[in-house]
Amino acid sequence: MTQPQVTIGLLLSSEGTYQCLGQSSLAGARHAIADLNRQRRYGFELRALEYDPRGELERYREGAVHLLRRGVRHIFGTTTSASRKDVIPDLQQHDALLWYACSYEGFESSENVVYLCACPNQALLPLLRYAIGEFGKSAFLIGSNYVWGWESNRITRDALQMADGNVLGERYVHLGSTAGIAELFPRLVGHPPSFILNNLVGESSYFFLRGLDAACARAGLRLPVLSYDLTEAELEKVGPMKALRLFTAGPYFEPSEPAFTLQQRTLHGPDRLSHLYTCAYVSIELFADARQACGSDDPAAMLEYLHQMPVDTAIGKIRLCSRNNHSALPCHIAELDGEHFRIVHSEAQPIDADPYLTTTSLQTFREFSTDAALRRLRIVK
Amino acid sequence: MNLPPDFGRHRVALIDCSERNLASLEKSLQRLGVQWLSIQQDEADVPDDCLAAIVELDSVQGPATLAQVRARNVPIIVLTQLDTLSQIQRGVALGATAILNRPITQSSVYTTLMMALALHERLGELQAQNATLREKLASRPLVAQAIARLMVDLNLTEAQAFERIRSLSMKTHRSVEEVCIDLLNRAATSRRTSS
Repeated sequence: MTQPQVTIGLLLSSEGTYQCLGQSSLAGARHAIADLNRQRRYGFELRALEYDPRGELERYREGAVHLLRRGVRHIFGTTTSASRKDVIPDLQQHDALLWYACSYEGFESSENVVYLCACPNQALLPLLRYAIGEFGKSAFLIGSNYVWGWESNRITRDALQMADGNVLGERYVHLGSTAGIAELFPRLVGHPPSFILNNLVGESSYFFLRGLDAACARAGLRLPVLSYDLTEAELEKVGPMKALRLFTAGPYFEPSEPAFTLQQRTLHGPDRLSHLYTCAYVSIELFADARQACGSDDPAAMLEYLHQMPVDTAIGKIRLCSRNNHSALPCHIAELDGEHFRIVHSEAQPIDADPYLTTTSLQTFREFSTDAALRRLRIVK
Repeated sequence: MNLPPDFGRHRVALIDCSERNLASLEKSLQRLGVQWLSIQQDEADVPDDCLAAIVELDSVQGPATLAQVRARNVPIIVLTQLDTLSQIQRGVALGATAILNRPITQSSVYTTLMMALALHERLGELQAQNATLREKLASRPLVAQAIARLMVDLNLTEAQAFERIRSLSMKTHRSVEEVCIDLLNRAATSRRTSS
């Protein structure tokens, strides 16, 4: 029997400097739609209208308008913050909802956006806490000259200041550019920090990691690099590391949900999964559940439902916070081991999102400060 | 702000604004009756009649223009699509006294512009006050020296010595510091003459 169709929009890029991220999100959304339609458990069939902005910022708004004019009220996608912010006014005008499933730097809680991946307190801060505890308090910060890099580095500076640590240097590179990156390698190898925080995006990041790895291998140096937000989807571009210790953080890694990972590989082939894939998958699951419960695609009703009812998803039960439309998420810290990420630490509980960092105190980093270390010293007679 | 600015004789400089934001700003400023001048990538000088500068933080590329704006003490408003703390800090570091967020509307442009002008003026007053107080603080040892001189030479108490300096300042319409310098100079001259 044919089921009624529910149309949604996918606004994700398959080209450009962050194409690995866009393609992974797109695969997650498409596979979720295929899986849910095959299960026929919602009483409707999901149908996706797709628009590919090809990694060009100005085409996201064009794409959103294109989808909204075709009656779509739910758009899944955008990768960068600039593209997300660009489409919000049109969503507001059309009373539509954006399901955003990428990590971002926080400082937003739009009523027209559902945020389904990590903001800084859900990934960056646990990763910094781990790194300072394991490697020390002097860091070199590098990032794309873009809000993601600026904000992640600012938070790191503040956390290190609390810990009495040092920022040995800070460098920004134009999005997608590799200019000037190689000049940093002798300095980083000659005077290695305790760790490097790498917030470069796409090609810039791959070039930095490959080049620094080669330089460290020549010098016999094992340098820890926190590539916050690097996922399995990008590992082919990075290649196996010979010398760098590469760490990342996120709500999902292939070993954190082995049953889901295996199921997806069985159903859709051997492509690498990632937290982008999984969060996009989860966003479709949440949509389908809310759409069924509400009996319509009215965004306000669906949001109200999701604020009240936790939904079973690929990464466990997810409930949206009614205050900021963000979801509480698990946080795993993983180290690259050959061609796979190995989880080295998982937070005990899902972490509530705090996009403005108003309830997360950086004072907790004081425990790494010199004062705290002195207080812990005991006099032994 | 005591008096509203004379918008008929001044212009707002729009620095390194993207095409889309420039169009929105021009539309708003036109409706507000405010004149403007767009400067891209250091291509023109900041005009003498510049009332304020709106600088797009996300695409700023003109270091020379910014240097001129700062040198002339022109109030700065930063325009940004992003409202993260790092952007706010960048704006403050640039010397901005207001931040204009997107979407740009006629009312947001007006309130931000007026707020930036008022705060800039207030900041200027406080800086001037600060400079005066700093000068006064620096002259404290001078006053103390003059009081001590009078206490020794004329056998006065501290309060009497200060009262004498204050009266002299009022009578001669000179500052307390100037009176002290004069007193100390005279004392030094008389010491040299007597020796």
